[in-house]
Amino acid sequence: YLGGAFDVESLVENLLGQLAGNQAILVNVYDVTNSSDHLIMYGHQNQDGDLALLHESKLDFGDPFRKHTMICRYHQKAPTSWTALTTAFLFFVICLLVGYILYGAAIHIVKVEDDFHEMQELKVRAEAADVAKSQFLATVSHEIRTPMNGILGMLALLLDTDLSSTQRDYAQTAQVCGKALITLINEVLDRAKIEAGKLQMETVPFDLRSILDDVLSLFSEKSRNKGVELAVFVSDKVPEMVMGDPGRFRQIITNLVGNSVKFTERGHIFVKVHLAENSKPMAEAKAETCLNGGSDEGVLVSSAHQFKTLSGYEAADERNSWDSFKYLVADEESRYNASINMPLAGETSQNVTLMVSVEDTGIGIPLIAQDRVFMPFMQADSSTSRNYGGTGIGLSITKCLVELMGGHISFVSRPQVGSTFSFTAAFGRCKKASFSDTKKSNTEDLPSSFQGLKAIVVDGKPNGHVFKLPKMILLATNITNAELEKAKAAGFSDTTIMKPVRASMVAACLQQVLGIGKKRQAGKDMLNGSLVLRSLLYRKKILVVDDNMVNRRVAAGALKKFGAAVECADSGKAALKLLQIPHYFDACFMDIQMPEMDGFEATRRIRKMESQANEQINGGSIDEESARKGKWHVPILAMTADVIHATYDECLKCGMDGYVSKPF
Amino acid sequence: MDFVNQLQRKFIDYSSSLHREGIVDDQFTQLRKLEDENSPHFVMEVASLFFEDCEKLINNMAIALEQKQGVDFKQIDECIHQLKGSSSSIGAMRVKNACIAFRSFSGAQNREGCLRCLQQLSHEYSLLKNKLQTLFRVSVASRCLYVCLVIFCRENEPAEPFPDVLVFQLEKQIVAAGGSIPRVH
Repeated sequence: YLGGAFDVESLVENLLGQLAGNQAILVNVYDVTNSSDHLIMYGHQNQDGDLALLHESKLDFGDPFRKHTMICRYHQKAPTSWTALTTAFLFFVICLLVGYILYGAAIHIVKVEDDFHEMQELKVRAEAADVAKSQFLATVSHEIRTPMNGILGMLALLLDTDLSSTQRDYAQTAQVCGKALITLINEVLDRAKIEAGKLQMETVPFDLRSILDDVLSLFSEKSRNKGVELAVFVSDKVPEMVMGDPGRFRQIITNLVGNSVKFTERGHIFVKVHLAENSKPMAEAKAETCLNGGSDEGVLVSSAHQFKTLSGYEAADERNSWDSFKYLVADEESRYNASINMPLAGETSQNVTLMVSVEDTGIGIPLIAQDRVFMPFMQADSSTSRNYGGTGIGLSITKCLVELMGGHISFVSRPQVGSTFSFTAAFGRCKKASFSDTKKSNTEDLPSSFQGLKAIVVDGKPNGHVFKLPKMILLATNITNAELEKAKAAGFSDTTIMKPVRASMVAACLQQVLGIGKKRQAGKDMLNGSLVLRSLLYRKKILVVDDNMVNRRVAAGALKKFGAAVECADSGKAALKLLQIPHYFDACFMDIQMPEMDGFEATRRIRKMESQANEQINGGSIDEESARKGKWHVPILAMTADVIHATYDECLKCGMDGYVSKPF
Repeated sequence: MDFVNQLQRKFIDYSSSLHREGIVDDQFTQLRKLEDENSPHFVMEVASLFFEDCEKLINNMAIALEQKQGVDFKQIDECIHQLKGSSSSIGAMRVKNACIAFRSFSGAQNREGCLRCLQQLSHEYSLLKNKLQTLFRVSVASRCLYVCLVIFCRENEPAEPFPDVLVFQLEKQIVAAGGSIPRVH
């Protein structure tokens, strides 16, 4: 045991100093037995130092009656930690910034989403507006069409009644305007339909040639009045029936030919239809002729008969000249001959692509306007509508239709020379089996008895095939009725066909001139009696003699139904006058019971006239015309209500050929 | 389209009643078949001609029978012959039969009988004229109505086919006017 004296205060201070490190720590020990009155046991009296941070701890001296506590505090206040503050501040600022960025981003996202929703809504509304616009257009057009059709229907009914010539003129003008308006509305509707993608193509079998025939007849009057030649050539390789949309095809052709007719004052309009495969060698042929100095045709003389085209006028596209045409046809024929045993690749495929070109010698399209031609509502010039009519929608619709048919349309045009529009279209091949389903067109088919006949076409510009025919048929572009009669009377020609030449007209004409009718088997005759009647009566001149107006009208009506040209006479005397030789009647229906001169008497006199004329032919002067006509004997048929044998005998006795019963 | 159906039915009923009552016969049907786009009013025209002719002949016969001095039966006979011819051409069966009956009386030169027959003939003629004029009026009215209704009710097609000739005429007129015939798909 060692005793020593320590100065506890300084000891503790040293200890604490050692322990405290840098900071000086003040310690106070209190006797806290009496909680309200703390007795200082150790430490300074004055309370200085950092009173904020106090550390209190209990002291146990082992004295049960007394409690002690020790309170430590820093001597000096802790200096403000600038780093901490700055860090905290900076951290705070960074957090703020980040927060702000995130907030900004969130706001942006929300805004973008809102915009997006708004845009979506607007888009829907815009689309709806577009659809509504198309629908509106269609509806309005439809609504306009309804009263328009009513107007046209009424005008048609009006024109059927008795009108004075001024009234008729007014009504016809109104009708023409109405029809033009309807056409315009239809075009607008078509455009709307195309835009809405609602235009659908049919696929039915149809006959190309008959559609071209129809379109030709539509424009034959106009082209004839203008003195413009209109012709169609369909290559032999084009199949008879193809599968496609006949209405739309007709629309395309009508549009192109209509444009040509509108803008052509002289020369020709020539429509050609080939198989598209054959057009390649045609292009090659053109290159050849060009290389071989074919430029002698390039002499820019605008007078006619210089160029080897349909009318002699220069055409815009040299490829379509007579040389390449000849080459093309020869090529087709040679190919056909060669491939009779071997089917060509194209023939076995499902589709047949045709190339159609419409060539005209009109005013052409100015070079600046050429790239705008297929845009809707574009016309070459602002004055075009005024001078030529139309609205400029036709070609854009045509382009859409051609493209819907899987083809392509293009044109070659030279101002003041002409334009040639060409397009390709894909059609399906027609199976043989479906032939029987198709509707036969109204026009007759060329009778098979014509096959093998040959005919010559005499033309100043030899652009046709060579056939031989003893009868003379005049092909006229533009001929008046008087000239026609003169030609016939002078024996210049047996009959006349007005150009454009159509299959149906040729058939009827040849029938009339050659006297070849349809040779059907007996059993088939009864199937379609009206067709037989039509073939018998078509274009025949028939005379109906009856004193009763009602009977005349009924007989004439019945005969006209089958295509006959009927003239009426109200008495035997009038009939005699009309049947003076020479006349052009093919037959005569004669009523028996008529006042003044009855049917028997009239017939007797007519036969007397005829026998006199026949004697003249056989005996004396051999007249050109009469020799051609042969013996005069017009078939006379009696019309009688009482068909008894006695009447029949009487009919035969006076020279009639037969009788028909009344009512007609 | 119900209205149009009713109209059609009325028209068909009316024209078949004409046949049933013997006012017109098969010849009239044949005349109606001759109507097409080239002669759309053929029956109306022939009927008007017949009405003119008939009235003239009936008048002549009435005047002839009024004669105090002596009735010219030959003239009457001629008139009857004419009338018989035209009535059989148009298919007016009852008028024709009345003529045949008339003929026997005029042949017998029986004035009383002739007067009675003339009255009968006039009656038959008026009946025919009324019926035919109503028929034409209905056909013209329904023609206009059909044009409007068919175009307005483009979704529906009439249940029964419209009388053949009128459909043909109307379709041609509509197409010619630039419209199109609605088809039910």
